[in-house]
Amino acid sequence: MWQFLKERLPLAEFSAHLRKPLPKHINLLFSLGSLAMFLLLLQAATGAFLALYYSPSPEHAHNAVTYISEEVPFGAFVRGLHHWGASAMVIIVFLHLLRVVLYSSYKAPREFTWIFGVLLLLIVLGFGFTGYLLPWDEKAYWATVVGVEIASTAPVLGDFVAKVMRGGTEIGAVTLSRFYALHTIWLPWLAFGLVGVHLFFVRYYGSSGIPQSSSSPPDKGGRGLLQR
Amino acid sequence: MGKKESRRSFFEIATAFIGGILSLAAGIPLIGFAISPAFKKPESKWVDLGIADRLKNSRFKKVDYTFTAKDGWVKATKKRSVYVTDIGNGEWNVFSRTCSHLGCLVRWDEQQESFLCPCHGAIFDKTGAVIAGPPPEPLQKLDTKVEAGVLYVKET
Repeated sequence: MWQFLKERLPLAEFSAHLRKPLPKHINLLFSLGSLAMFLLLLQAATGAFLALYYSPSPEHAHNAVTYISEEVPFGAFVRGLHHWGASAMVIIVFLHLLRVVLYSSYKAPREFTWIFGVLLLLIVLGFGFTGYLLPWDEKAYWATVVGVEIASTAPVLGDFVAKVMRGGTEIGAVTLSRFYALHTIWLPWLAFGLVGVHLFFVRYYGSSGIPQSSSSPPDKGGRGLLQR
Repeated sequence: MGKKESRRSFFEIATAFIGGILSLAAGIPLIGFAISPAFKKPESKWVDLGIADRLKNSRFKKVDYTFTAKDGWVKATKKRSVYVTDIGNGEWNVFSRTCSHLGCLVRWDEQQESFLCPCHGAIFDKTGAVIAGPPPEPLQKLDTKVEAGVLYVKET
């Protein structure tokens, strides 16, 4: 069986790819990105299961969430993983960003890795904002009222943006429905696509060095993927 | 070689072990979460069909009724249709109209003295037994009781 797969799939190459040598200065802080990706997968898995019972309409949303927590076996556990995973995700993504800034890893030639990373940060915040409404309780409702109000204070386009976010002038069925769609379809596809690009750049440029004085030779990167 | 290799293989085994435990710790609850409806015991309750004396009839009488039941997080109103007849001695025959083949609704035909299913030509006799057609089993007979002159059937 193993032989059959080995002859048809690039398993040896893939395995070699997982065992890449790392520079000496790599430490635990360089695993924050992997941790963020692990959390993304955890959120995707628990979210996919929660969606089995959730119903994004004002009549049902809150009761469905209560049903998950109180009546479905392991419901409180699965929902808890998703709930705490979401907070962990935001924290880890910020720590990851902090590591990149402190090590100057965003500098040439890794600007694209950085830009896609910042887009991913925005997506994570988008997940947080849209997901917060879904339990459809008082806290969820008022948090979204405030969030949308903040957006509406933007000059010129503020009012327009707020209406698009709400799907109207007030938070209601349309808002809940579009937040659910964003949370479970639009943002996941975007996130996984951009993670792919982000990871490609990470492997292509290799790990960044330690910041050096300006007299040192510049870090060219490109020790990764394509040179193998 | 020896020392470095054993350190690496230790980490590989440890990673696989911890990863495996974490996957099981998350995976088993997730699967249980998803398939739990299959293991849920159906709720049964007695539903009021009406005054027993008024339902007394040697022929089958069609009775439609509604009752509320839990449907997930929703209190749903469900509609049912049954044929009712009393067979003396305070015994009742109440048959579900749902054909035991594929769920169409049967009707009582007085002349043929049988239940006819419009979908695949099934025929049941007055005891609910299959006379002709594809059904694998008789019509479902509901449990009954009479309390304070009221006929109840057990809904599952």
